[in-house]
Amino acid sequence: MKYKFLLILTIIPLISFAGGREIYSENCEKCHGFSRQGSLGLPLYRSTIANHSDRYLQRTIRNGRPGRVMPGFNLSDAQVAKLIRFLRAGVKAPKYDTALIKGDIGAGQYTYEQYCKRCHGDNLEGGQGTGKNFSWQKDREVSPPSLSNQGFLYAASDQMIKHIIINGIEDTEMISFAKEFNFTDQMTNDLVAYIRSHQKEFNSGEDTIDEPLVFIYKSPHDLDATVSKLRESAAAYNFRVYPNRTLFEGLGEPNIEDNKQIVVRFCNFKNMQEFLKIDPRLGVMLPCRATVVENDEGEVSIIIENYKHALRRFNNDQMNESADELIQKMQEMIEEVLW
Amino acid sequence: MVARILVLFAILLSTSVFSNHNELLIERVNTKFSYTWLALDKTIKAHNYKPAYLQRCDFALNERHYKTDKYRILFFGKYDEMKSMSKKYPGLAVFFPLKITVMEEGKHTLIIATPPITLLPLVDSGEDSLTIFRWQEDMKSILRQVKSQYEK
Repeated sequence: MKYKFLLILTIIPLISFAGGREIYSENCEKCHGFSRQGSLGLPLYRSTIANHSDRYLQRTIRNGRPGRVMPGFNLSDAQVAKLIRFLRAGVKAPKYDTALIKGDIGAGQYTYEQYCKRCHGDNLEGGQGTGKNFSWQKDREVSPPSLSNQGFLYAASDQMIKHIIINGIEDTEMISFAKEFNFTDQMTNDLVAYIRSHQKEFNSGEDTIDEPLVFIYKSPHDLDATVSKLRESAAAYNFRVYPNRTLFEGLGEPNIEDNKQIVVRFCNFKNMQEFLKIDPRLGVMLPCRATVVENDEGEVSIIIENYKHALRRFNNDQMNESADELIQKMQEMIEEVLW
Repeated sequence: MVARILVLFAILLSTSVFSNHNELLIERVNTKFSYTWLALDKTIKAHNYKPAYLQRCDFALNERHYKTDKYRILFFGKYDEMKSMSKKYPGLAVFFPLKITVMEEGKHTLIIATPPITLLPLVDSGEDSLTIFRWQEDMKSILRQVKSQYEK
């Protein structure tokens, strides 16, 4: 009986009676907004979706955009179909031939540099930051998508890319290059071939980080001296250091043992604001901190989080690049304390 | 004991199959920051956790042309439970208290948290894993309940 009950418990979530709206609400609206107006994710206007084939949407939903915030979703075929029907809101799905377009990659690169680079970046990497965010200053209303993202290249057919270059996308900054700049068929084919040349073998699997979740350093000093040196070191590395807290301050009646677990919190505001521009979800990592702990044997340790793991949850390569320096700085800071 | 292990196995299976445990937990709340903040405080207490303190991250954001300065982090936890866990596994200390980030976005608010199950590699007993699974479910429940209070 117990086993049957457990089996039922396990299977229930597999069965979905939810419609497209509910699936959108559960999975998409947190990033794309209640009215699909965009937020952490790009806007999903009807006029945008009208250019996207079912194949493109299916592959985008399933695989996301590795390194560009959007994760892949484990939805069933039926759920994906319902979601796409909801997103289309009655607009007919376009059909594109999946055959590759032949063109001159060198000529395409020239066209890209003349017309596309200023929005999509020197290396097709797209704009800085996340989709369309109402809360953060941006030089553009929407962060231009990355054209070299492997998720995009895996999802988009050449014909779909060509269609968008020629016609643009209504209600967005993507203009019609045929109308505005008289792009010829050959120019467009060359440009598509150049974009396609960035495709590699697509791997939707997660990279694993072969490093611990936390770094624990034994301190040669007593608790007070370790905390004091840590504060000095953080200040020397241009962090603003906040007053110390005991680990469980505010959670219960203060206990003498609690004074043996001290949290040293620090922040470099300039760095923080730069990171916030790249990804406003940064708060889950704030403030930078080191926890100093004395155990029952009187041994003192400094424990810091390995932010590489935390960063992976953002699925934002721009964050990874900017954070390496910060992680190294924190490790050097602790090295000085332990000297 | 066998039943507990089976339950743990069922939860583990369902968690790994139905959700990506590496993703941040995010909910969009259909109301302004101040209302969300109050709802979050109440909902955390209703789940038998204690809000510990807040961290404001709004230093000069307005002066630097951001569209909002409503950006805060709320720390919360359970004293006895987290104390015993951090004593047993010192590495967990850097993740305590648990926290939820609250940021304004136009007329809406985003509430964001790191999924507690990312802490699983730091514990080595089934019993303690169950505690972390409970935090995970509580965190998801808190975020969902705050969202549901302002659903259309």
